[in-house]
Amino acid sequence: MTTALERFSPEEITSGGRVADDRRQRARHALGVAGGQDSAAPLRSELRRHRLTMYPTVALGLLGFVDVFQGDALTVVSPEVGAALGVGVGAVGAARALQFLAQAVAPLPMAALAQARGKRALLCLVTAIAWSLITLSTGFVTSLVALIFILIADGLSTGSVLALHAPLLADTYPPSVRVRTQSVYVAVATVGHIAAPLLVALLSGVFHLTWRGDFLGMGLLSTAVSLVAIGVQDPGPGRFDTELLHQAVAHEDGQREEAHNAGLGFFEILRRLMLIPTIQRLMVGFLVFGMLLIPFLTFLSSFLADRWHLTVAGRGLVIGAGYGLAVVGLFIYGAVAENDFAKDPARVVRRVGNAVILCVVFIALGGTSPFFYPMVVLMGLGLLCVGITGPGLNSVTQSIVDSRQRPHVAALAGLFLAVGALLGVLLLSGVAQEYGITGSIISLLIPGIPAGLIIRSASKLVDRDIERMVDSIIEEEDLAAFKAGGGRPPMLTAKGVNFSYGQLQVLFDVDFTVDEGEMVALLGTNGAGKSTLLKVISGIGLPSSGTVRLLGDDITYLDAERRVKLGITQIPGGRSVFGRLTVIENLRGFGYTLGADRRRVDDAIDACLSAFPRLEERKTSLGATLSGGEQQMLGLCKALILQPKLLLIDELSLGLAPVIVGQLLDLVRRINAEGTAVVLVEQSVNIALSLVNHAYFMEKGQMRFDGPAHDLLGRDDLLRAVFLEGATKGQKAGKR
Amino acid sequence: MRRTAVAVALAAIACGLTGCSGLQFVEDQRLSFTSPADSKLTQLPVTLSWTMKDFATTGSGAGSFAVFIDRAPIKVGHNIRSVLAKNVAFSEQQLEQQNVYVTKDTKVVLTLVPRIRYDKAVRQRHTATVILLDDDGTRRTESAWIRSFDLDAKGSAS
Repeated sequence: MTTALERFSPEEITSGGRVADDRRQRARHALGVAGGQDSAAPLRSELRRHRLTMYPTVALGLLGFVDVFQGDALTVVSPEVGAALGVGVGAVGAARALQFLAQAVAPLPMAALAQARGKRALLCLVTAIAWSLITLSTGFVTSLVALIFILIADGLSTGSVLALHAPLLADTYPPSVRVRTQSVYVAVATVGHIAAPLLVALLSGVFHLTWRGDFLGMGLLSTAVSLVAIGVQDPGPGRFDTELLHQAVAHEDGQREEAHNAGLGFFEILRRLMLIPTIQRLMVGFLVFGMLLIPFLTFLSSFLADRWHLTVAGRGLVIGAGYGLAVVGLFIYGAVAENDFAKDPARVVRRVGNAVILCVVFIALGGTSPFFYPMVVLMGLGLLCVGITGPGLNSVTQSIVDSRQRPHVAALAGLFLAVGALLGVLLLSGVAQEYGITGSIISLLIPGIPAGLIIRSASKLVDRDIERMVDSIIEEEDLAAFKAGGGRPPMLTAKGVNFSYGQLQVLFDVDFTVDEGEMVALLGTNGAGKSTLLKVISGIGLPSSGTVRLLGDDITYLDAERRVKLGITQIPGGRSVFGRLTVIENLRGFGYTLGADRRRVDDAIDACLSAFPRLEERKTSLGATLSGGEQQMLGLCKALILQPKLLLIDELSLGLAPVIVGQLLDLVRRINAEGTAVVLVEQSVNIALSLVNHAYFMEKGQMRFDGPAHDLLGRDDLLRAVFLEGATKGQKAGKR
Repeated sequence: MRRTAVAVALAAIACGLTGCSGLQFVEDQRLSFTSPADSKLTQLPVTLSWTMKDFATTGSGAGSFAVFIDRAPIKVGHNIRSVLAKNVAFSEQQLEQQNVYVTKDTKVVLTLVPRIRYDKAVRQRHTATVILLDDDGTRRTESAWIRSFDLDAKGSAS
């Protein structure tokens, strides 16, 4: 007898449960991470080969370049702004902090907007023009309130830089040039940090403009520069990787039918991303790195003023020189990291972790240096190390997630950095008050070294996550080929499911399949992971890896309520009713997902009450006052009301009298006979196997048996360890 | 239609928030500091001096200078009296206690500059902001001139 799993994935079975290595290799090649010792091809020839230009990189880089105008200019002229508005520099600083907060949260709605509307290139352009006009309007503010309003608007509009630029570049260029293009992009954007103070100096020194005139001039320039990006096109997600990956692993006969996956909502995507181990680890790294990054850039100016008594011009020169060094470093780093990325993306992550550690060492040495020029060089090296973290980590994070989820991962990174930055500023302000500005610069070692180590540790997870992504695409292609060959996917397929409660893993690579209209038993010891598997299927719990498909559609990360609407209903063992509601109220509650169709709910409630006359008698009683059997009856009514495609029942018979169990089982049979597929989680082998033909057996989070129910009875090695040995013997004797 | 309405509303809000007149886009170069040099390490007493063109401090309707040490100046349209609490009688001494000096001369001598308490550095940076007042003591323009000077913390008043 063939199992549902075999019917679904013939290739997997023929290859002994392993995907053929050559498909994996082809997939890695499509992702540009196939390994090998060859150096990356020259950027120009690669671009020519793909008929691409550097225009999108430079254009987006220029948007990043003008993005910093507002903030950097305000840093320089804040005393003048305060003097004109009659407010202290501290108040201007507070307004800047609000701008920073807006910048921190803005990437998330920007990612949501990109998800809903697409047109990322247009969004980049529109937001750039918006912030340019905002920069221009800064020259017109006459009060602190107006300044705050303007700065928050600016912060919100610049969300597109973090959320959209890196994903757009990742989709515009093939993986073979991705790190180099990201490096060029960051380099162009970094020049903005050098240009902004110089522009202020030019507008004030040569044209004798006030800060208002400075903002007016910079706003006009920013608008003009933004228009350069008018020709940037959005190639759509995954043109150079996900799509190629699908082609690389597709079956050679070329037959495929597009998988119709239920699209994930915005928060479902965020949650899904946070379950990817590399992303999870890197986000922690970003949080700690943020504690170093923003405070360093903020405190560096104060350090130069207080320790070295530099004027505004002197500080601008030193910081500008540091950024200049970072720009040069980015061009060199791009080529090196590209080779690393092709050979082993984990190496890129390791190098970035090392760079972060080196960065704080340089900063600390610079902070304690008694000599001016060595200090300038050391701080410059610190800025260089900060600069190269962006392209490397962008390339890796953008490559291990689904291409449609790239804006989300970029937005998450920005958010974690920003939260870290706020914590860091608080920490360093305290240190500065106690130990002075030099003390606070040295104290950057505290978050810097752990940040580097955390980022470094993520390198161990990268390869596994790339494999996981490849696996899921291979599975989609297998399914597409299966459908194209006339096959109909099973009602439910859970494949390679791993699940953890915090650090405690409870499911290990679990496969589970239910065909349409089938009733299967899921058996196992206490704590074997049966209920957890049901949670993963119903969406109450999300797996750390693996897929769950309903009729072939990937529902792994859908919210539980969306799964109910798709036809999955779970009846949790012994906890299936609301104790403070009456029987009727419970039934109405179950019908909530039917929406406004009150008549259908009423009919369904009538059907329930006629199926269980005992409930009719107690229909005004509170759920908590019902007996265990009555509660299970009420729980089962959920299935009668919702009429799901797949019903998951957890521990139906637990603690109930046989006569009650009999009544309940009759109803389960009836529900199944009407076409609903049923998964019955049971401790009682007798009960379960009297109902089903197909059984699964779990032990210690692993699927130990998948086959005909009567075969399970022959598996003493499994049953003896768990259930009463006598029961199985008795069953066998009875059958004889 | 709805987009136009939103644009008009935004423009109205922006105009209301920013005001549309009396803004200064070009530097007012009538005042030049003569001492101390910018960011120079100096000692108490500090003489802050400047030269001024096209601003009368004598005769009818003559204005005056207000110097704010390490604090924000008053807003445009506000009177120098707003520096003091309502129940405090207005006097130059009271203003000086608030680190504000009003003078018709082109210099002030600072015999006392309070330490910046949150700054632990031995050499502390102080900021003087000079603005113009009319004969009534009201600030009429955005013009403000800023000069920084350093003091050894031991030389400042605690």
